Amino acid sequence: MEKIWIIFKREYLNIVRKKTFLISTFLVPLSFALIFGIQILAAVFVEEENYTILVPSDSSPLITKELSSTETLNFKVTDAPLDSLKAQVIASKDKLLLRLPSTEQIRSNDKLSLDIVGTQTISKAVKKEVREKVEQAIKTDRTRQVGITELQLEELKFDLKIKTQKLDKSGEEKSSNTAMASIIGFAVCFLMYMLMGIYGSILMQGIIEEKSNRIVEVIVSSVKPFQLLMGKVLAIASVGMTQFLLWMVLTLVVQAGIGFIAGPELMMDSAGSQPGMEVDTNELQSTIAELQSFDWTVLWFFPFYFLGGFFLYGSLMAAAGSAVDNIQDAQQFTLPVTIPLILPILFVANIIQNPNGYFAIATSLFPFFSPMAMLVRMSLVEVPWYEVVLSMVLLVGAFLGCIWLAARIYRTGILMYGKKPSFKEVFRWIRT
Amino acid sequence: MKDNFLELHGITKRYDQHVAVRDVSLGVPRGKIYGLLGPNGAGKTSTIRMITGITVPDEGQILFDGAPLTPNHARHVGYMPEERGLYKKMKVHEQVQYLLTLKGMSPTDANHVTREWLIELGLRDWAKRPLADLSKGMQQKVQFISTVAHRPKLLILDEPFSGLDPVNAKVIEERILKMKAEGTTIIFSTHRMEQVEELCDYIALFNRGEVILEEEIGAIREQFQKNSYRIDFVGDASYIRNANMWQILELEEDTAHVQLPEGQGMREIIRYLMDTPLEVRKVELFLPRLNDIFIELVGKDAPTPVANR
Repeated sequence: MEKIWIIFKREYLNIVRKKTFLISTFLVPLSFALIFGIQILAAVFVEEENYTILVPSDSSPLITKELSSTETLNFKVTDAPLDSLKAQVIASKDKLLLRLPSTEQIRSNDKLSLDIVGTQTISKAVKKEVREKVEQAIKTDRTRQVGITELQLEELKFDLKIKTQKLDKSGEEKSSNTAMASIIGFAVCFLMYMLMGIYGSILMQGIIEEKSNRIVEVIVSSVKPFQLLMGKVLAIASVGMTQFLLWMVLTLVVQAGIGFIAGPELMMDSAGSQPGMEVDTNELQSTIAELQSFDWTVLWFFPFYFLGGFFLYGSLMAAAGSAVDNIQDAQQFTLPVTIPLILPILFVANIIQNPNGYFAIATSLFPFFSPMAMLVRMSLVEVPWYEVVLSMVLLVGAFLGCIWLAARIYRTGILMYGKKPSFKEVFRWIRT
Repeated sequence: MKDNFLELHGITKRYDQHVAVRDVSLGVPRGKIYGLLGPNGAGKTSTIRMITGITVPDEGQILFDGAPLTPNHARHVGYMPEERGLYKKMKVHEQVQYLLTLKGMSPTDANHVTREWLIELGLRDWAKRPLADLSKGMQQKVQFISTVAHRPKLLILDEPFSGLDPVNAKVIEERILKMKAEGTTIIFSTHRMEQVEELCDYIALFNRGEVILEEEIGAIREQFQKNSYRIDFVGDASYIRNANMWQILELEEDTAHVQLPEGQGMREIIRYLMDTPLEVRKVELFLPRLNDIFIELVGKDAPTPVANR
């Protein structure tokens, strides 16, 4: 035990003191924050686009008389011939040409289209604004045709939003958002995949390095191979946990920071006069609200499933590393290990679609998938406690088995040099 | 009966399909330097790995200072494998200290002896540098320190001088002899015969997984000397060439190597030479070089044992 501790300490400090650990620990959440921040900025500060939109005077008067200029768009009905209008558009990138459907088309057709002609790509915002204007004009015309007054039309308008509520056992209702939960579920699944993959290969590389620079022979003359293996596995698992905890702390700090800096700004903007902006900030605020109302219990289970999954996949990667002399040869053995690791990423959509289906339940119990599949389910629905317990028990059983298997391969593998062993040979090492 | 620090009784080790070591019995005398010789793949490394406890014999028993070998003996063993290895990026002092604590030393003691040894072998200024910054010779010294600084009772050195320049080799050799003088039992595995002749008290010759010879080194040479003598002389070589009392093995301008029939020796040679006008400088019993014995025993089909780098 004491020797495992000595090895643990060295391995842990060896990784934690490296610059790459610090960089990845701080850069990952920062880059998340940055992406988030850029989106906020993009939503808040949309670049102003000013256009003069040329509308030929022979267009349907139904529309032209309704077109009123806005702050950014200046509609200009003109008698000039089409050719000269086109020439103007070519001459100035601030000018656009609008081609409208004819009056008969507007009156008889349900599928209408209009053309905006410009020399540059026209932004979504401009398209949207023009479309709204034209739509409004056509609507006005049509309501008049049917004989409804604007006032009556106004009275017909209403806003309906669907909110899903999650009813828990105590009878308390919590608002839930499936889209948000799906995104979080996928993110958690992907994070788990990345962490297990990255830490698994760090473990494997460490073992190959010790083998190829031959220090392993010196060490196993002092400690048992199993002690060395466990010291390394536990150390890297702890590095993963350390990183996870640091991320949690950083997230809280960053969240508080964003709330402090961007909070008042957002409030001001949503109350502000710009009509285009209002929608975006509302969306942002509701996103934040959804994030806050999300059931974060999944995070409490994350450490357990990370450790379980890492012990399982990490020990197999360790066994693969011990069987070879260099990283290139390891591929043959890591492939059968990495395939089950990647699979959950491929079928995560199926789980999200029906998180209580047989498929989702089966995958969240199967130890090779459960670290990812169970967390996805937990993000979406309340998983019955007995399923959680069963999946945990199965995972523990499976990783104990994998560690046992890995230890047997490891103790023989680390002393084998030269030719790359075959699967058959590796299986013989297990038996001896 | 010699006082053996380490004894192997009927040790057999099988790997997969081949037998690496077959029914090997050895006795390593206390406080002596014991050489393991033999061509590559003869079973030396497999035997060493069992002595260091890295692997366990399939059959037979190993006695360490009179008691069956257990993992607890690891702290009394210092092992330097043929293929050297240390962590390239770990700092020298930290690294030696780490390896010593793995041997069972307390961190304080390990820290203390590490500093002493680094100073003694002139590596003080490198203590805080990563190993990769050191020259190969210095790295070897670091490896040596981490093998011996915990004062093992049994020291196992596999090719300890390979890759060392003569100056550093001398430093290490002095340390080895000093440890021997302090009572450490040393097992020494090598291909280099001149080192064996210089350092070893006993040798065991391995071939194809078996020990084909185990003996005190002087006894071996006597056993294999074929009653041949070396004569240094000045004068007419025909007196040597024409004598019919011996068979000439080699004859040069002023030195001859001759073999006498059983029962005759130095006395007969001197008597004959006295009657010739030759000026005799030296007559000596010719002791065979270990290398020749080695080749004779292992045979020409075996891979060449002398790996002169």
